[in-house]
Amino acid sequence: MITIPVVTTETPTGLLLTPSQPIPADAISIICDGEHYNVYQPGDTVPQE
Amino acid sequence: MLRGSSYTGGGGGGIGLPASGVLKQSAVPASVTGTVSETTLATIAVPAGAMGLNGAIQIISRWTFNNTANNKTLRVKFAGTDFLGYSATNSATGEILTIIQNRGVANSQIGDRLAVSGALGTTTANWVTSAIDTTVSQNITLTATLANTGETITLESYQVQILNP
Repeated sequence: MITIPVVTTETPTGLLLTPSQPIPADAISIICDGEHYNVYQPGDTVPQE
Repeated sequence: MLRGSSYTGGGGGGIGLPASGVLKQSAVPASVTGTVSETTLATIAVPAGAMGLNGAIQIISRWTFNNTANNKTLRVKFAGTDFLGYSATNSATGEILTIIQNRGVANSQIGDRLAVSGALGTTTANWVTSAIDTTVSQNITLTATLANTGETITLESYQVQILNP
């Protein structure tokens, strides 16, 4: 798993979170926790919801 | 086949016209939890000129969320303009169709009704219109906003198609 920090932008309707760099093309699951995008790739164990 | 656009995906499009086809699709789940800030779950670049003067973008998005009374707001944006802004409550999943069409020129669009969850039929809601320049690359973004940090919204999958006559 890799973590990508969020970038926070002010918008007219509030804060908008976006990844600070592109999500890797081989991602198999992505979970944003408000501070980071946790990106799971092949071989990683994806947490169950 | 000759195509008049740098966009080369899919079939369709006649001589000198942009092509039609699937621009991007993914079934990699993308979730947000732990924040009430609007969170980008997917970004899709629409290449310059990919939409013809009477072309369209069709977006199908599939979502999963907690089945509670709290708002789970799902948005589909094109160049920052909301073409969907639907708050789901008391339901567990959603499949939403969003269509944005150029109106005979490259910088005038009509799209879906903002707060309608992609359903066909009548409503009191107005259509979304915009003046986005589609001769330059623009982004589609799919975002989600929670009202309760203990809940989760998942963008399960999406398909973005370019439709040109």
